[in-house]
Amino acid sequence: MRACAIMVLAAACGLGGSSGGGDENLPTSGIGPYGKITDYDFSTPLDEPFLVVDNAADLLDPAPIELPGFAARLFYTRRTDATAEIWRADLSSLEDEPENAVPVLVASEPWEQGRVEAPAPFRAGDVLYLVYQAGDPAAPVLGWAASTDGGASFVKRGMLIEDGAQPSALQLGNATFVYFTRPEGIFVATSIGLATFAVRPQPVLGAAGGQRFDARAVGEPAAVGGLSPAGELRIGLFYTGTATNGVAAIGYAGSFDGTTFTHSLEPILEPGPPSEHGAGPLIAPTSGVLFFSQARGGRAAIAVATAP
Amino acid sequence: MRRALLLLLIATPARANPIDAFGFGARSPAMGGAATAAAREADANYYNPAALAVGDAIKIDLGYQLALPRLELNSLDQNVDSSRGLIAGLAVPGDIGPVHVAFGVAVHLPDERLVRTRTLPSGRPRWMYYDNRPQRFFLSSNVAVQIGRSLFLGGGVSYMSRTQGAIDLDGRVGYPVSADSDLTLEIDVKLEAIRYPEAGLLWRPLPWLDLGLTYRGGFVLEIDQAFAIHGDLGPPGRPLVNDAFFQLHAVALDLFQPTQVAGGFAARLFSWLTLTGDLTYQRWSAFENPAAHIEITYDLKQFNELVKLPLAVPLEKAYFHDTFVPRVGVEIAASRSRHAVLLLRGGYAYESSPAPEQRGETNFVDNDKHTVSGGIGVEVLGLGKTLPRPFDIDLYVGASFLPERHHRKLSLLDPVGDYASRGSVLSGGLATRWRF
Repeated sequence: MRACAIMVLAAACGLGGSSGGGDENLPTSGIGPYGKITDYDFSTPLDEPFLVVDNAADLLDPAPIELPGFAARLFYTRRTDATAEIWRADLSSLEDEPENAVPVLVASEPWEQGRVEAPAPFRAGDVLYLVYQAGDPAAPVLGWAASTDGGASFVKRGMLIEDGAQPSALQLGNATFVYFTRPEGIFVATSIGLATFAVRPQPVLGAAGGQRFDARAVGEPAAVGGLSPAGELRIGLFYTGTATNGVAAIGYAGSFDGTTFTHSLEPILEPGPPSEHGAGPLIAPTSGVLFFSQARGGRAAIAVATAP
Repeated sequence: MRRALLLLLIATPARANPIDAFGFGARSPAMGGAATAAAREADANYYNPAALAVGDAIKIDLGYQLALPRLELNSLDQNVDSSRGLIAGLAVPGDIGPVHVAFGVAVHLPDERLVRTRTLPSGRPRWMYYDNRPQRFFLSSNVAVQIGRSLFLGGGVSYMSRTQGAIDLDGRVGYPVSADSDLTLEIDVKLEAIRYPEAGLLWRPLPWLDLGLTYRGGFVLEIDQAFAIHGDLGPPGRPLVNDAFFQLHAVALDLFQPTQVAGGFAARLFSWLTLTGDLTYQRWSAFENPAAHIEITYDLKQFNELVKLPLAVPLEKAYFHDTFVPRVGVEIAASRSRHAVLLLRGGYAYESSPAPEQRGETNFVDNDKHTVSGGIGVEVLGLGKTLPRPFDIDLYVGASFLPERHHRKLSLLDPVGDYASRGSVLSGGLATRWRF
């Protein structure tokens, strides 16, 4: 299903390789390099590479899931000067405007302090969970909610982790990995059976230093992974790295165990200005689609890149 | 003059020819390809040239072969091309004085393309055994001689072609308006013949037993392509650069065939039963990473300092290893009458892959292969005065199974990642043999 959804998305962009001659369905790990979508002949209603735009708000933290009937459902943050809410929109392709854009989670608990943002969906059985950031951005916490209707609506389950921001979650079997950001870098909390979450005290990924694209800071993880065809664990983290000049770019790190990561030397999306933030990947066996946020006309909007 | 040597990760992982991949004719492939000591007629041109001198009738083979692969990576079909084509062969024995000799020729003429030559990034997953290999014209010619009563020797050459070409543009390159260019085009492409040797020995120590030995030479085919542009750069009458020059010269490995030595037996245990067996050594360890070597030469005068070319990237070795391929076959005369003989055939072959698990940057995908085959043949014992000599009609089908193989990448940042390869190849053929 996941592959199917991404193939529908990718087909609109002409991905998938040439036909015949053994060139079809070539495997990819999904780490890129990615290229922002373009539309040189103005054949779509979009302002490529932007896909979701709201002139009255910043749209951030895209997090896609596959969706029956549509190619993908995209959760994202809609932030104004006063509020931060989690919205969703449904995508049938990368050439059409999203449909059914509505708020799906708004702040209602005292500890949320009027703000919910940075959605991180993951499936466990028939339930779709959403880990999210709440509270004052200067002292953020992580909460979580659950949906039994595919993400159309959520029931909050309370606070999940104190002192954490910009989460991403991954379910592998009965193990759950929640990656999140602290000033020191990217951390992970793990759970078996969703009973309790144990936070690993050391970051799994920190700023690289030197002159790299992620020299100053890393954050905004987006976890992907699963078992390889040989049955071995593979976990990847898309993340935002900030260079010493303040430019942010999206990188990738891979791990055999989910706690020890090797990160790429170069961004997997275009290096240099403008800055890109908050990767939201959809990885299929033969292609990858990467949602991210980028400045557009004074606001942040959600853009798209594809690989290969 | 500036020069830069680039070793780009462009490869054409392709080996040998369709006959190596799927056999020749319809009799020998039906017996698992175990025909080093059992080949007769025109298929001896490939399996053992010495066998051409067995018998005294002129034989002409005509037929058609095809192979339909379904090869998958991560359970997704790669849509690898089929291979099919006309086969024809000739065996002409005779006597020169007291010496019994024979001449033979065999050809496989693909009906989709005579030759496919393409270069692909070596990092791109490829079913290297089934890429260019089956898409190739094959021609072999041989002579054989009988020595004494029980020994036959034969040898000859097979022909392949290599591509050499150059594209030259001379004149003026328009800048900043490229449409303003004024260039003369010259294209010079040659298909050069490559010959590689083959030789065979057939010994009949007992009336019911034949032993065979065949040598097939290895070879490497290269694609040699050059693109050059020479002239002024800029608008008419006001060139920015006078007499500029740029050339890209690419040499890539197009085709590799390992040196092969095959030994085999054919035992006619009963008048109705023949068993055959082969063991073929293939020297795959000589196979090298077929990535293209690209040399860029340019002279842009005052702009030379502005051109930055990437450094050469060391190529990962292929690490292929030699293999031994066992084959067994059986032929049963199931029914005989005054007019015809009905023959049933079967066979099995196991080809271990010479390619290692692809853990690095290359993705030369190959799996072990189990091939089972079966066939039926009818030997018509003449049709009166019109066709007084026997003629044969043979049909075979084969199925090759490539069990799943995992490729686990050492790098967590590999753009392809881990994958599994598996597949199957269905093959078949129909051939007739006429004696004169």
